[in-house]
Amino acid sequence: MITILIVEDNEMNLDMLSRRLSRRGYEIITAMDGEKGIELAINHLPHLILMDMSLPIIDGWEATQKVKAHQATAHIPIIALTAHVMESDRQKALIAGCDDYDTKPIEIERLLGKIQALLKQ
Amino acid sequence: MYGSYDTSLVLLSVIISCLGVYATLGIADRMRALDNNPLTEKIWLSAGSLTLGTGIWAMHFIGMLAFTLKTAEDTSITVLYDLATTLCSVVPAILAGVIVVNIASRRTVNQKRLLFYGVLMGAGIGVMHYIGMMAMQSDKELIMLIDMTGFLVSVIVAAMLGITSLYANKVLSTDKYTRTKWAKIVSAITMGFAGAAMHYIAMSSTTFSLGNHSINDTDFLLNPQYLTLGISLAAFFIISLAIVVTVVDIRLEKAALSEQTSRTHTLAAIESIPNAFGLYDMQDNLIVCNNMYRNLMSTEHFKVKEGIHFKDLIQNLADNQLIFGTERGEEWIKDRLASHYNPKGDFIHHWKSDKWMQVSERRVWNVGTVAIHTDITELKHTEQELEQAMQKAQQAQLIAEQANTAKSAFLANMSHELRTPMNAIIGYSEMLLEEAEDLGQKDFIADLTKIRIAGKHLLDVINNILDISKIEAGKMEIYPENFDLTKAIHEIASTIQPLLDKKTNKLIIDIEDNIGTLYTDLTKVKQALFNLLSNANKFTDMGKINLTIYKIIDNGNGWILFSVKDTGIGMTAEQLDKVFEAFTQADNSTTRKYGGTGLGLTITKKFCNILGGSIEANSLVGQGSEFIIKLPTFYKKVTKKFMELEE
Repeated sequence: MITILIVEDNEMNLDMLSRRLSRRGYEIITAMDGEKGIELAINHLPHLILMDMSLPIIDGWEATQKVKAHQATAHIPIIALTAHVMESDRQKALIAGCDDYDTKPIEIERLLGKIQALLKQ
Repeated sequence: MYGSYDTSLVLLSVIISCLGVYATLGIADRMRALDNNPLTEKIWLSAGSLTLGTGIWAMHFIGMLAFTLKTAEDTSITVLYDLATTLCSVVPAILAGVIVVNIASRRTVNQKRLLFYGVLMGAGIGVMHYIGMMAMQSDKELIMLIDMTGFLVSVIVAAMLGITSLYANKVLSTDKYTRTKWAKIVSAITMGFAGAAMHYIAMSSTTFSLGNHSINDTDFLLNPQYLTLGISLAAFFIISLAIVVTVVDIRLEKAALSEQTSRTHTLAAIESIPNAFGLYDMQDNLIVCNNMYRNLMSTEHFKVKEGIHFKDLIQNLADNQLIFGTERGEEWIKDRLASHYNPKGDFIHHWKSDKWMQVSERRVWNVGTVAIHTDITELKHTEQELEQAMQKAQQAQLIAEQANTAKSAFLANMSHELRTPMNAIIGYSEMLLEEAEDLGQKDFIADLTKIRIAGKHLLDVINNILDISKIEAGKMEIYPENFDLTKAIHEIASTIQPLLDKKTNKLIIDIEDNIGTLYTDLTKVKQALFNLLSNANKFTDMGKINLTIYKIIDNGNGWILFSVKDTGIGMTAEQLDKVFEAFTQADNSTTRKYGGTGLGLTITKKFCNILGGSIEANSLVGQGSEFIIKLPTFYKKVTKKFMELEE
């Protein structure tokens, strides 16, 4: 069973995304802030992380950096999910260490494609 | 008894007389040139009188030497001269000289005075003559009978010639300061002749006879040869001296004059400098300055003039607090003097009269200090205005930058705030659709699909608005790259194919052979062409869509043209006019019928523009439309100032 960690502070989006991915057979664990996200990543070592960028306590960029800096979690692929669509936002996410990037609103087929591509590696 | 004359001696006498006058006139010239110095005037007067006196006196005795008194038996009578009387005779000659010098040295002489002095002069010479005659002695008593008529004629002739001479001198002078050489020569000759004429006329009117008495031997008598030799030598010496002194004095004066001239030139030169100029000597006393300097530095109670000391000038400036900084008092003076004694480049004085002067002081070895103050007020004012303008411009720029930053932040925030709920709307509707399908709830599927389509449409609108805003804010990034055009076109064609199939339209692509590569933003070209093709497809049913691509050279630049031509419903002229404006699809029903955000062509046009190209449209109702995109084959960054400020 593939475990995906979703870090997202918007309850509706979190709920919706969790349910849609669960329907496709992924085990979902969720966190609503960056700090919790890092903690879950370290404790559960998910196969992939979907990381919102605007997060409370620790934002997505910093959380990504920390996850990637930690020996146990450094290998976990991270897809940045953001409603920011400026080119600079994409660059910022990749610089922070994200493996891929997708914008909200989520286009489920596109996102699934990206998830599967990263899991294959 | 009768007298006879030695011609050469007569001639000599006349020459001596003329020379004496010539030298005297020279002296009178010197006096004329003098300016009210009583002492030098007196010295020159004495010298001139002495010269003329001795000249005429010498003429007289040479004339006497030329004269030989003979008896009826043709024996010469030895004539001797009494020393005292001889010496006395020089006095009236000198007095006549005083008169001549006096007149000749005047710059203007009136007729009456000329006449009066002429007569006096003639009389003086006459008196000298007869006193000289009285000095004659012989071994027998010498009796002289003077014919009164002859005497008067001699005096009158002397006076007339004297007057003529002085008059000639006056007339022949070019102006009241200089006497021409010729005036002097004519004067000298006429006056020299006046003396001689008087002498010889007087002699001719004198009858000599010898008395019977032997003369008294007690007097000291002189042999005429020695007497004449002595007098001649003295006269010659005096005359020569007079001429030499005159010449030397003229030289000196010329030198003085040239110094004066060069000073005048210097003053004119420094006066013509458009700056305030002052020259100080090694002791810091002002040697010379121009009016501008004088006016700049002078105050009501302190007038700048030559000789003033630099320290006093500075003190006065400080006392009157004329320059900004002078309120520091002694300290300012100290600094100012330091910069004066050891100039280290130019500095600026800001006067309280709002004058700006650039001060430049230079030490000149062995001369002193040159001070030049240049008025740079206008320059300063311009500079200040410029500075203000710059500040304003900077402020405006700052405000523009802030506004731009605010705009960018607003765009980003708006985008974020709209997308987050859109995410939920689209996401939940899609999820519900999936679940409804799973659960076989077909009733909901149609409605859920409507929500999803509306959500997607709203998202398109948001994306398009965001794109337009980005372009307008100069925030739209351009990523130019080299790409193979044919390949790109085929990619676009395969993307659009499903849409074409839905409406049974046929796409006919015509690409010029060897079209090669383009250097521009591939994504934007693709999006623009996709927009045109999907539009053509939207308004065409079971028709043809032609995509024609070719290159042209225009104004030396390479261009690529994309033509998208359909056989659809076409547009009216009014619709065509506004086709690139936002939200202006023919009417609302069009949107309902054909879909779309109404922003596609607006964005397409903006893309073409930011890539350095253009777009145009042709259309006929019922026959179809043609859109032509024209882009440079090689994209060059357009430097727009506010675009650069963005980053």
